Amino acid sequence: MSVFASTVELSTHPATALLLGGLVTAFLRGRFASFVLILAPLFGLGYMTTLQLGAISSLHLFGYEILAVLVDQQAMLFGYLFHTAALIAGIYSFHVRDPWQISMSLLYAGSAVGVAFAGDMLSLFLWWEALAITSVFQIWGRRTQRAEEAGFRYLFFHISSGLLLLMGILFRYHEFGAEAFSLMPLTGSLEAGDSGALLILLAIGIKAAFPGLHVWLKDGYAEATHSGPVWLCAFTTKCAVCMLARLYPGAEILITIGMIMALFPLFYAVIENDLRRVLCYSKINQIGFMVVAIGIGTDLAIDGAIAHAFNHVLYKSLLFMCLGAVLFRTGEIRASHLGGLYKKMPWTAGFCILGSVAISFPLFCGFVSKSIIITEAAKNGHQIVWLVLLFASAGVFHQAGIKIPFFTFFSKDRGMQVKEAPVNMLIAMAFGSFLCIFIGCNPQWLYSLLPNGAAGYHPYDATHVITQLQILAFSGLAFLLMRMGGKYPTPLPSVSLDVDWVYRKCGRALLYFGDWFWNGLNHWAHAVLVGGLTGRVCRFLKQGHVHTMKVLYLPFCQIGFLEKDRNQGSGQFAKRMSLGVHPVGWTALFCMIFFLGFLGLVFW
Amino acid sequence: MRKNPKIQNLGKEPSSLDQLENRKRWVRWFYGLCVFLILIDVVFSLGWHKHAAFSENLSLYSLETFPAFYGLYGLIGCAGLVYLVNFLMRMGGKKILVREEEYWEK
Repeated sequence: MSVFASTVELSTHPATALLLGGLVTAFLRGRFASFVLILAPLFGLGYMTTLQLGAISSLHLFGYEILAVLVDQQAMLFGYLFHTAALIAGIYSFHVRDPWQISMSLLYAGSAVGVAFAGDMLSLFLWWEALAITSVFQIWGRRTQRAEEAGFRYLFFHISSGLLLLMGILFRYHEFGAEAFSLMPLTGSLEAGDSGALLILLAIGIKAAFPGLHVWLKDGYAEATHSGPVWLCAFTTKCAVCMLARLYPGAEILITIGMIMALFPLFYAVIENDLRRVLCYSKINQIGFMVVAIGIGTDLAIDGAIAHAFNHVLYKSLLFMCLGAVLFRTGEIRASHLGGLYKKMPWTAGFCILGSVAISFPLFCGFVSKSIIITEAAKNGHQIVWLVLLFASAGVFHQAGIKIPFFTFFSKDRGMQVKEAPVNMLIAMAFGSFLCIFIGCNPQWLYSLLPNGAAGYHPYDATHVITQLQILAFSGLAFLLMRMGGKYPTPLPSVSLDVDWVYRKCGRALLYFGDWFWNGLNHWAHAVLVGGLTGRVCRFLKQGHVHTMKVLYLPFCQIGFLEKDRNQGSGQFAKRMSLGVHPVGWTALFCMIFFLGFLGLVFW
Repeated sequence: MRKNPKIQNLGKEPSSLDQLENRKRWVRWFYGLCVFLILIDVVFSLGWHKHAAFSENLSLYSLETFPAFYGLYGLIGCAGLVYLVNFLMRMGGKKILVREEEYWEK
């Protein structure tokens, strides 16, 4: 990035406040740690406001010059987003007393800020790995057998992502030298068939939950602690969107991938019983919008993708906070076991409805960014993409926006005697809701932070508002009619199988096969070599010559070497052979036979 | 009688939802809202120039500017999705995709 070669050298990394907070909270206990959890993002935000565009920070590591920080408009926006999300999640997690969770959550947020500000591939890789390792503690924090296993599966995906990224970087380094470390767009290389660019796309694709690589999301988030998904939903996938927007703007394959991402989760959202999983599927659907926008690749579309990533964190974390509060109070998150909680948790219910409405209603944040993407798809003549996105936008409201609040707070009352969510959770939800409404009503505030300023886009156009209200109201009507007609599937205690079946069941089958084949080979080898062959060799060495000579005894008698009394002679002969004691004549005879044999071998 | 959470969005008395009569009233209001949105769209389409998302030479232009297209698309799309899911579940999806909760522990 030579453009910034002569610019300000930054002394402190933007993630410093969060990382220091993470280290400090590892040693603090009780409320002290919780206060740091809130103060660290605040200090970080304060420092962010002093950053100048174009500032850089470089360091030497292992003989390489690493561009650790590069401050540009996109990095600033994601920096603000990650600090704000950390602040909201910090307030929400104020009551958490597990030092591992608290400390790692701040380090996780810091790593995400590191990814946003990464100036080259090497620093990106380091933060990328940190992101994987620090995030898994939000899952393990639940301390159940399921959570532990889900955490390992989550790590498997994310460590693979890091390794693919490293492999891609090394491939490109081998081909292009030090130039390969820059964070310039790789779209051209990808379309020219460069394997390095493809590997890097795959690495980002895992974190962005591309179809087929997405199961870590619904698997991990659903097993996390009640506050875990609030942290998880803010950082990992948004880092992926941030890097996709940097590295692959205009890559056409992303349009197809994004469309699949926007569509298939809707199916699962209908049949899934675990409400946090429903939310995970709706999250994949929303990331699909961003991926499509990055694939379209115009300035406005990229702005739309980034703005939507920003807003998505706000309303998705709000919804995860509501479900987390329900899980915290009731210990239950399955739609089949919840219902009628609006009387017990009215505030949480209210915030949950706000979060659902914020997905796409006018005057809420989702509307001002999603509409950029849908409009850009139409403006660039992608008719099928437009139809798919419009359907996905109605579908996600129908599935996540209505299904989640309905089955949690309004359907059949299960008679749970619970209290309203704790105050700190309500404050965090209120703060999240405020931001959703604030950005929905003041979109220019967000647009001014975008790399291209969303030039010339006005979301509040009469046609647009009317048509959006119409599609949302009618998707709600569809839910109402289906529900009243008894057509909407009733949630039943169940798990739904996704592509996780492939790796969980086939992985298990591979394990059984490996167990059968390798351990079987081991047992066979043991039985044959140790149990069988060794004994036989020993017996042969001990008894073989005795038996041989016993067989040869008769011919020797006939030749006249031995006495005529065969029975006595044979027994005595065998006894002598086994003891190795022979008369002198016999010894001389054997010596001669061996000597002749030796001569025969040499001269033949 | 089941109720629709959308009606919650219009402002609600939590306790009133327990009464069937109140729920029916909210549902009627919601039907009214849907009709109102269609009417506005029709009036707007006839009386003013709607800003089409597509340029006029594209085939979706006439469909998109058709009054109430968005509403019908949302209704048919979402109802279709649920019907599709129900259909797939009946066709064996229920046995293949939806399993008992202890499936992974087995």
